[in-house]
Amino acid sequence: MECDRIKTLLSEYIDDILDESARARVEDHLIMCEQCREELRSLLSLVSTLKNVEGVKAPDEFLVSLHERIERRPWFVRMLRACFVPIRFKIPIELATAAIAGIIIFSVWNAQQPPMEIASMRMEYSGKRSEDISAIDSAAKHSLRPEVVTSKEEGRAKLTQTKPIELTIVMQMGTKTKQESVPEVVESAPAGKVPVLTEKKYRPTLKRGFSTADVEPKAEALSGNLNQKEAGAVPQQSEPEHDIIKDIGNLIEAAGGQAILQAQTKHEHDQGVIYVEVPAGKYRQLYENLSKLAEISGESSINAPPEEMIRIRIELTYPE
Amino acid sequence: MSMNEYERNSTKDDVLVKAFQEGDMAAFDQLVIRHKESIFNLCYWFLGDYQDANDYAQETFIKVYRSLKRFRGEAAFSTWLYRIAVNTCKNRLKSVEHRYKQKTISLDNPDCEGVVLEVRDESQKPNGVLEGKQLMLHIREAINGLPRDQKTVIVLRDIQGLSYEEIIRITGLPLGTVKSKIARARQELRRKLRSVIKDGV
Repeated sequence: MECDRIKTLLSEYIDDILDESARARVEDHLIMCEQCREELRSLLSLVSTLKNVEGVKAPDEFLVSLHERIERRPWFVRMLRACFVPIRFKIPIELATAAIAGIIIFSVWNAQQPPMEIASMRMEYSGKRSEDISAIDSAAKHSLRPEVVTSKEEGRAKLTQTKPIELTIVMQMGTKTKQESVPEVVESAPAGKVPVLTEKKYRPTLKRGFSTADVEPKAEALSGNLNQKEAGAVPQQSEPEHDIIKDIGNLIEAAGGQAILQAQTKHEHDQGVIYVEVPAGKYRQLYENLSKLAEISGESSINAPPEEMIRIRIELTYPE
Repeated sequence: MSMNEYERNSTKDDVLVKAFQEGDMAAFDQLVIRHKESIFNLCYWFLGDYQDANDYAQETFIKVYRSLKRFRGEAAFSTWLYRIAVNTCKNRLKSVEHRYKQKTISLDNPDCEGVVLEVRDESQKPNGVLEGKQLMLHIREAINGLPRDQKTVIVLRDIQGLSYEEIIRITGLPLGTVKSKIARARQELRRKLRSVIKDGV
């Protein structure tokens, strides 16, 4: 019985944590009891063996793989950390340089785009204009945005290629008479279908007795009026000039083109401007026909593919 | 470990912990280097498997890394570290013990390699004293057969060499419980390892 109680104390006896009286009791018993001494010996042997047992060594890459596991966190934890903790890594100088170079190239490339040529011009629209505006928009976009630019030089080359050809024809109003107008042109241009041209009155004192009277009943009537006026009957002075604009419209339509807009320069009454687009193949004939309406100056022919649309700026000038 | 050495180590830990809390990430590496072997061995004796020891020692340090900013130093860093390691391994043991009970039914199953088996047949024990690696494997198996709490205290006390006070702080068990569990674990190990351990010290 005493042996059982002593055996439960042997572990603490080995570790020397028994109080004075308990230790004395254990030692008194051990002197007398061989069995308990044997028990103590084997316990001491065990404790010594455990204390000196060969352990294991952590793998060499322990710290490295620990770092990998620490950094391999759930995405939302990483996101939260990225939001609230300043980044610990430095951005490499190469990366920063590349980013800055990219920004510079982008801004230089953008600065090379031509400005919108008609932006500063005061435009005056008449009638329904929405499709004309969209035509201008698309024309402007076309000239502003080359498709794909692979290099700077190629980009420049492309820019000039895609820019539509633009010509200027100056018409000296009041320099020719109606007899010189060309009937066969007007044939293909039905009357009243010139919606893009304004009824804005220019100089009322200009050319008289001019119309496309041969084929157009209305014009014939007007022409009649003019004839009357010439005889001193009705002073309707704005009609002939209206007619010449109408005639220009007819010629443009006959050439398969269209008027984009009609604008005036700042000296409203000095000058009128009509922007038109026609296929390049029809330009020469249009030029010739226009020359029959008035004294004109400009390129009489153009070197471009016949189906390509070219833009023409027709300036109407009026002698003082 | 003498008291002076313990205090010196503890002070060095405190310096490193403070450095980490002030943003020095290299201080964490220093703490890992200082404690990885003891934590790795603790996990190894607890879990009885090298790969598991690696996984759960790393798991321990990951938990330390995540909560070290909030560590206020109420206990020594090493005590706190051991507590995390013990709890991490205990959670692992809970699932392992479940599996162990199922696997011991089929002892002759060749798939059981790597599963820790308690040697129960006296005739299979080697006769004669063992040393080195062989002895270590026998001790490992014997410890693995102990109940979880006994395993915890005997590894901390006899293999890691910690004091009773330290074990109480780590495990949170009362002194009486620690004493009795150590005594019972020693009795059990003595019985199992009698044939392979030299007598007489």
